[in-house]
Amino acid sequence: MTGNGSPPSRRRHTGTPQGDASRSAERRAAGTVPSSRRTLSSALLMGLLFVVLIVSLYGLGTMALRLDRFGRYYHWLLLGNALALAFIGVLIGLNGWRLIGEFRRQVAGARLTLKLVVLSVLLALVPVMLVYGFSVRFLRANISSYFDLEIERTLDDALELARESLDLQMRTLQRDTERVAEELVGVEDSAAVIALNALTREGEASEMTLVGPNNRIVASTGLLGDITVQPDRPADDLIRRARDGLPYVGVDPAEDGELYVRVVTPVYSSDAALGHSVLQALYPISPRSSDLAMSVQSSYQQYRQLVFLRGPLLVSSMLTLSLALLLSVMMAIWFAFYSARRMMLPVHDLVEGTRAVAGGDYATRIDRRDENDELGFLVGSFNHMTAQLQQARGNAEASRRQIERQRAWLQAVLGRISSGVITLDDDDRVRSANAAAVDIFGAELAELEGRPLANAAHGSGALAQFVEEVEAYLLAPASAAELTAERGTADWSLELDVLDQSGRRFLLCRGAALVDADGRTVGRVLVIDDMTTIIAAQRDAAWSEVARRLAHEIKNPLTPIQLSAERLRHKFAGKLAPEDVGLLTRLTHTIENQVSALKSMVNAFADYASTPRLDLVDTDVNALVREIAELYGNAGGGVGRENAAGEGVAGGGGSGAGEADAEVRIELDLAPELPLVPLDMPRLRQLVHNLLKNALEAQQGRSIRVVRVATRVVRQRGGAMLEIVTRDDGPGFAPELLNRVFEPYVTSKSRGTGLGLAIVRKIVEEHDGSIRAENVAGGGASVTVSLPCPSALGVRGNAA
Amino acid sequence: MRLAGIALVAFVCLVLLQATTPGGARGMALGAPEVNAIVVREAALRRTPSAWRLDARVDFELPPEVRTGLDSGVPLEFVLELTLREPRRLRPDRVLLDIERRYGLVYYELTRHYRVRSLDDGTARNYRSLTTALEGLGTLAGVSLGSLDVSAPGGPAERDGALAPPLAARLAVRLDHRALPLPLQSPFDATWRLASSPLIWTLRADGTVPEPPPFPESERPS
Repeated sequence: MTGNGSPPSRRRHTGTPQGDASRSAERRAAGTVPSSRRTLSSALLMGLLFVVLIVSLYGLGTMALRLDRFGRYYHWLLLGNALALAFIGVLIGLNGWRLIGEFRRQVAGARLTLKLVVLSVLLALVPVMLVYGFSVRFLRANISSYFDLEIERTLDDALELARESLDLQMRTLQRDTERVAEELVGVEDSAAVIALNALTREGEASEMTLVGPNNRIVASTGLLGDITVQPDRPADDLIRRARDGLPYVGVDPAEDGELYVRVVTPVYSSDAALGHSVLQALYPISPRSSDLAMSVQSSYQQYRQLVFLRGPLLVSSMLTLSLALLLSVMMAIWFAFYSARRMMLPVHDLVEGTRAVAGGDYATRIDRRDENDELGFLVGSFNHMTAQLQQARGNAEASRRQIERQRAWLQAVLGRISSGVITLDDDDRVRSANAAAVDIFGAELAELEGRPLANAAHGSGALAQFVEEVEAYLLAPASAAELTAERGTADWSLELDVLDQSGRRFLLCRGAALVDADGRTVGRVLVIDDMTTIIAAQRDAAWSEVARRLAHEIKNPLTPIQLSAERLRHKFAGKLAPEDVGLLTRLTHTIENQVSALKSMVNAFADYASTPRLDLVDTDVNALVREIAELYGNAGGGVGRENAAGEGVAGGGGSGAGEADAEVRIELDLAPELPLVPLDMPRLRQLVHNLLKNALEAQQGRSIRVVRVATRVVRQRGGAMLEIVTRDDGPGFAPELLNRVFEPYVTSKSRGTGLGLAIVRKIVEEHDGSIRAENVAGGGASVTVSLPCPSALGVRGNAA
Repeated sequence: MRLAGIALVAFVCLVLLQATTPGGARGMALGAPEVNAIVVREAALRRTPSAWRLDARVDFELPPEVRTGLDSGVPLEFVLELTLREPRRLRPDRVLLDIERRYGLVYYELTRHYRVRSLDDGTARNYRSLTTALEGLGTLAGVSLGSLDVSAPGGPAERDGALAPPLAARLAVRLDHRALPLPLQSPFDATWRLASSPLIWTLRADGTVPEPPPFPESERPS
């Protein structure tokens, strides 16, 4: 599969249409990959040095075989080469040190570079060492071959032959000279010059010199020709030898390369002046003989010199050869370093780039360097890959941000809707719960996030009751499918009421399975609406309607009934027997009483149902409370008797007749400097009256009934509120009724219309206030009425 | 690479410096020269009406290797270096004379002669033994040094007198290493490096030797 897929993708990589744009992007980002880049200058420098060394080595090699003065720069070249080699050695040392350091630090590519260097050096060393070994061998053999025994013997013979030839001439010339010396015997000192010249002309001598006893030149043929010519004087030792009777004959080389035969012989003169005189004669050897002899001499001398120099010549040649070897090896090593580094640069870059990409830096690009080999292709592919990765990551990042935005948006929406929304994953773990859900079920739900929803079933709060109810819908997927099939739909809804500290609440719960694109269930969503308030409002509306109809339908016939009963009593009281009159009177009274009771009930209903127009006047609530309290026989926290029997919704049962004399104690706790509040005075009076009555009725059966009334100003976020709080010592509200105590006919008392607190709430709502009832921890109940208090903004809040 | 460039430049500078220094011109030597082979025994400068002349006696004691080389046809070239300076206070000495005389010594196998030749004027002498040849080479009598105008304005003669500073002469003789065949110029071999210790003496402008010598004892030749 991959075999089929890769070639097209390769073509796509190499033939990418991004072209210049991507390449310029590579160049821009190339700086992100750190790498030690060798410049071309180093290669040029080394190449130059290499050429110079090669030339100088060539010079050395040439000069080493020459023995003349042309080699005066030989040692300079030698020293220069040695220093250059030392320089290359230092370079190699530095490179090696650096490479070892990189190897230890595990720099990318260092291991491969080291291997390449070692391999290259080995590859260079082996052939060079072989060539060197053979060269040394050939050099020795060659230099030795210069010196042949035959040649040496031949040269020796030639020299000896030349000597023999010269000796022959010398002996002849010696005899000639001795004859001249004999002829000079008897010649006087003064005539010696003339005689000598005469004798010279007869012979072949070029010059003859007569040295006297006192080592003075007596006569010389050279003196005659040119006065300025200094005659050749025999050496003193020769003169001594001659005087001792030992004549000397020998060949002397002259300035112009010619040879002269020098003969020094004693002159046995009887003349005292010439006694112990010495005669020297110089005979030139023929130029041809001279040339031949000198040629033999020169060749022999050169050969002997070469033989003598054989050792040093070999040493200097070996030195040159070794230098060449060293240069080759060191250049090879340096080039191995250089080429390995250069070759490994893309690999190093690739490794660094891969590390950077692995570290999450997808912007990494490697400089292409216009290399068209496989490494260049690799670099190009790498850059293409990182570009694609970067693009993919950019897309993913954009998607993530979009999802994040949507999630935030969804959370904001969910957080602001009144319905509670709980999402579960496919294992029924709580994934999220919005603020409304937490409001409904409390902080317990927030803590449940990430854990199974069923964990909450063990508690006792509203959440536990909720979970128990919905658990049947949150079964394993198979069961849920059955359930769904059974119900015919994936969505379900459930109405349930739960009971907790805040009372009974009606919840409407709807559930739906979340399904992904493949149709698999990936979670559930539960939407919970707290219907308590809505249901209460519906009930209120219904009750208002009932009350209005009752008042309308019942009130009308009551007056005729009452009047008819009165008239019946008046009409027949005089006509009936006295015993019947009593019965009539009792019956008609009963009718009138019941009608009266019915009337008051109907009035109460009418009150409840009526929506009179409020007549707001600034009212001193404290004064109003005090005034009403006095009606109960109480002033400023005094004690009185209950003197009014009215309807109450709270409190225990018991007949009012038997308990009419119970002691009533109203305790006031009124805030000083309470501001005037715009209120409808009669409605408020009814409100306070109903509250007090309700509190007193809640304590029926007690000898002392205590009601505490407090007023205070509370500063809230929406503004200041005037609070009127009544509190009694009764049994408190039944928990199941706590939420509904302000509804009509929600009462635990046997008598009364059950409209007292309903009317209270109606009045409060008419004044845009709120009311709440709660049980006090130590026993008893409290009802708090909050009324808007706009004039209290300037007053110090919470003055109670 | 910057380091390599600096090293290369330093190397080139070193080579140039070596090449331009006077000492460098004589060639390099890693081995110490043989100092006992040539000894300048005595030397004197005298003033003649025409020129200054040098009389000196130099002893040569060639090492066996050098003798063998000479007998094998290796020509030797000796250099005589003479300088005459006028010491000056707070200034470099004035060089009045800086003369070099070269002498060649060759052995002729055919005639079994040693030949000493002045390479400056071409005069030569043949000797039948090395000892006599070296004696002849070491005996310098009246070697002409050319005319020296010491009576120029401000010259030594003008200020001559008892208080005039004496002149310093220096004579040294060595075997010219560079004139040898190349294989013998090995920088590692001192066998062929023969040089005398310089003989330094003082004299007046008229050629007479003053007393006491102004030079420390340590600088005088032994």
